Amino acid sequence: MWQYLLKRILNTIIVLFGAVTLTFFFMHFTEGDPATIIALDKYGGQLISPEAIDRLASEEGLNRSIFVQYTSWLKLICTGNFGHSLRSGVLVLDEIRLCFPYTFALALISVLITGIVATPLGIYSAAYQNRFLDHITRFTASFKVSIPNFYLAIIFIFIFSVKLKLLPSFGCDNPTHFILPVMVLAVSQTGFTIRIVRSTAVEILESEYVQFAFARGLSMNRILFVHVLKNIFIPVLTFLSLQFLMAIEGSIIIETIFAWPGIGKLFQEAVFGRDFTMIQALVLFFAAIVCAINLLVDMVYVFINRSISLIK
Amino acid sequence: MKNLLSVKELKLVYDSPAGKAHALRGVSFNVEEGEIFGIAGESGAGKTTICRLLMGFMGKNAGISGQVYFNGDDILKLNHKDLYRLYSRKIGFLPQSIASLNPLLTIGTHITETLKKNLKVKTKKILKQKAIYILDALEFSDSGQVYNSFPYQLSGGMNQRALLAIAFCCFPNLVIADEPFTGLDPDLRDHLLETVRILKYKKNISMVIVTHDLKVIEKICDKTAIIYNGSFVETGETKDVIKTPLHPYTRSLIKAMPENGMIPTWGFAPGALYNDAGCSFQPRCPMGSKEKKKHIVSFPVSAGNNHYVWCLNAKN
Amino acid sequence: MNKIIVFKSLIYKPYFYFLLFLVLAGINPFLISGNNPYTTNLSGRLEPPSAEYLFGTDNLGRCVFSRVMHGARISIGAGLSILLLSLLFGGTLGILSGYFGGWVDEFVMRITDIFMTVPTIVIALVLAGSLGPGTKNVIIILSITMWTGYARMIRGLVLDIKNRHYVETAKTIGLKNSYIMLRHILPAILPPILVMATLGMGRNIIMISSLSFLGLGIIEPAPDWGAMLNQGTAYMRTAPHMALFPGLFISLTVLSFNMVGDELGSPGNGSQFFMGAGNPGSQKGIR
Repeated sequence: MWQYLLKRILNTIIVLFGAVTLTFFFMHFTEGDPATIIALDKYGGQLISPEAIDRLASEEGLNRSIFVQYTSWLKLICTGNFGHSLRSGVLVLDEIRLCFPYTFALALISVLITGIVATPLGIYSAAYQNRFLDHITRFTASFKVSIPNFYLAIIFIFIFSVKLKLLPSFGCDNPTHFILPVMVLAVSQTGFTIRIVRSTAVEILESEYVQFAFARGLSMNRILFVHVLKNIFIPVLTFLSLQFLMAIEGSIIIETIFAWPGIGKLFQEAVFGRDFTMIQALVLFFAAIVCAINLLVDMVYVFINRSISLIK
Repeated sequence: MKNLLSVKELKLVYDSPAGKAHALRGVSFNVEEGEIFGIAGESGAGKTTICRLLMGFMGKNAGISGQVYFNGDDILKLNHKDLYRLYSRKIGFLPQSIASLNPLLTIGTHITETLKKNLKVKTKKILKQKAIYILDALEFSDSGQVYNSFPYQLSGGMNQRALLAIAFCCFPNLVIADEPFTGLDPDLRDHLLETVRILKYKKNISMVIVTHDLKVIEKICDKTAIIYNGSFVETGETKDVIKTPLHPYTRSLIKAMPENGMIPTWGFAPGALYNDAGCSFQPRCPMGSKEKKKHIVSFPVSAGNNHYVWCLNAKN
Repeated sequence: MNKIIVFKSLIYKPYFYFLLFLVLAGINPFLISGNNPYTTNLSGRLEPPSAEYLFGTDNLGRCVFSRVMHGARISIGAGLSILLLSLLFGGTLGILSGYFGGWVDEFVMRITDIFMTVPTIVIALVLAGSLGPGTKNVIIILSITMWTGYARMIRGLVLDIKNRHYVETAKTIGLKNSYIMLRHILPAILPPILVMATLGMGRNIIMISSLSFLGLGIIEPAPDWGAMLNQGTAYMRTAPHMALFPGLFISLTVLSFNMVGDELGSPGNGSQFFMGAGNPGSQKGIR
């Protein structure tokens, strides 16, 4: 087992390294000189003297060759120094540390709600296949998966904030601010999850132990909510971890719309502001989250299998 | 003694792309109280179909005809709710493989949930007591341990015994067993057969055992029916059928048993699509006449003592 | 064969016709709407839907309906281009990787690992930040972003097929690898690829509109649905129709593609042919 984990960790490192390298080189194939762009951003206005630009460039080390920049940056990363944002001057790590909890909270809550809502619906859908409930559930699920989340966000804001004036749509001051963004995330997530829960539940319902449960005359509720539920738990958990990652990805657009102070908004601003250090750090960060969650899920699986084989 | 189960002319026909397929061609038999009835035959002969029909698993299928009377009701005509009420309480089911155990539930849970559904008891303590009781009856060395164990923690044999416990825990009047003890080594199998026999005597439970293992038939079945290609070819008391088999097919089965030399008979059963009239065994029959005419065997020949055989050449 | 049965069932589905309608709009939008999507009319700004302007006018007085129709051409056209490019590149790599195995496989796997670990939008945004907006750039960016998914899935399909009897026989006879790949493996994996492609069109359209919505995709004055949604957000209070209709069309288009993909991939038609493309939901009942 340790061999497997080691291999996975090694793989992760390679992937992270590759992601960061690719980002670095992709970004440097830009149009326009980064120093000029940053200067424009920082000082505004059209007339900036070439000396000012040069000074900025040498400050940030942007006038060295690409490979030199790359290797020096790598060295910095290894010591944990990700540099500071080219726009705000704040340490990149600090900004990320400030913003990530908001995104994490959003993703976590929406995934929890998805799990609670989608699991029973999917199970009922599987149990009563091709009846009314099943058709409705499947159709709405298909629909939910097709609506782009930004459109949904706009519609929700329109209905709940503008027309009904019920819920806030900007920033994050009190818990009610969570409601709309979480709803938007949860809608598409439940779309995906219901389909998976349904198909897994169908498989389980056709398994021998469920057939035996029917043969013993157990009630439908018992079968669905003990036998099926227990066996569906782990596959659904795996899928929900995937949804968690998709929520983090989706946050990039959602946070922009809702002015939510998370890393999604941070990233979008970084891209628009050509904030290289921030972009590089965030790409690494996103990749790291994905790797971390995948590794976690893998470890849970290995742990479960190991305890099964140990007891034997 | 009273008839607990009475099967009359049970047939199952379904449409397949290649024509009408006869899974069962009209079998009839009775099972009395306290009696173990065995049905033996090769794979595909219709054994599992009988099991499923006896349990009422196949729903209101158009291809099913005949009656299955249990306690005065025709199982095939019962509605869902009444059928469910019978399960575990009056009719138990012993499945073939241990995949019928939910890997995420303990053996104890399996037993107690069956008990809870079928008896009025709800108290956890009493349920556990009853579960331990049946586990003890099946001669587990540590019933408490087994009660708390998951299927993957037990050996194959122990899981088989667990299945027995689940099937018998409510002490139903009738247990339908679909190829029980298949794949177990002979020692364990014999041991379990003894246990079943003891259970039968203690609680007067009837059984219908469907198997391809003649040893099982020999050891515990009171009556036997040999099934070939969807119909019975010989029925009677086990000692008659096994000691003095009259039908050529029965004879070939007995010859093929390990202790008799494992002598096979060439050829294969024609299968469900076989639509010709007459004896379906004739092509392979060692006593089959060379004439083209088929032996028509729609009614059995009696050989005394309720021993029936569907063969014209039976009397030798 | 089975394909005909499947396509026949598609004829009964409304979403199929919606897609046909969009393709028609894409080929020649003026067939559907007479108005020019680019002409501004500052005196008639933000008008609600009327007989002349079916979907109303936007903040520059342009006809929203004709813009949506022209947007169909952009979305489906760009989506198709991205699909073809990414399928070609990803598919080739996937087949090579799955067939030859070894270090080729390892190498391709690592590369796809990298692309699949970093979320799609992130890669797309980084590239978009470098290359800038514009239709051509969007096609390039999204092709780079999305080829890895196909590479992985096609590799999986090839691995399935590779071990089948007839491939092994072909190898033992001594047929050339390229021949085997083209004549044996490729035809076998085409049906699931078709399903992948259909579902992929849906994803492409969402990605295109996402990028445009953020301002980094297809931009003014081109009538891309995502860009229109972006502009429309500012006017939600006074003229919601400006944003509602483009968004509706994005949703319906993606929905239609998804449903066609489901229909092709579902075993309910006796089309095990198309399976292997990861399709949830079988049709059997409990008993």
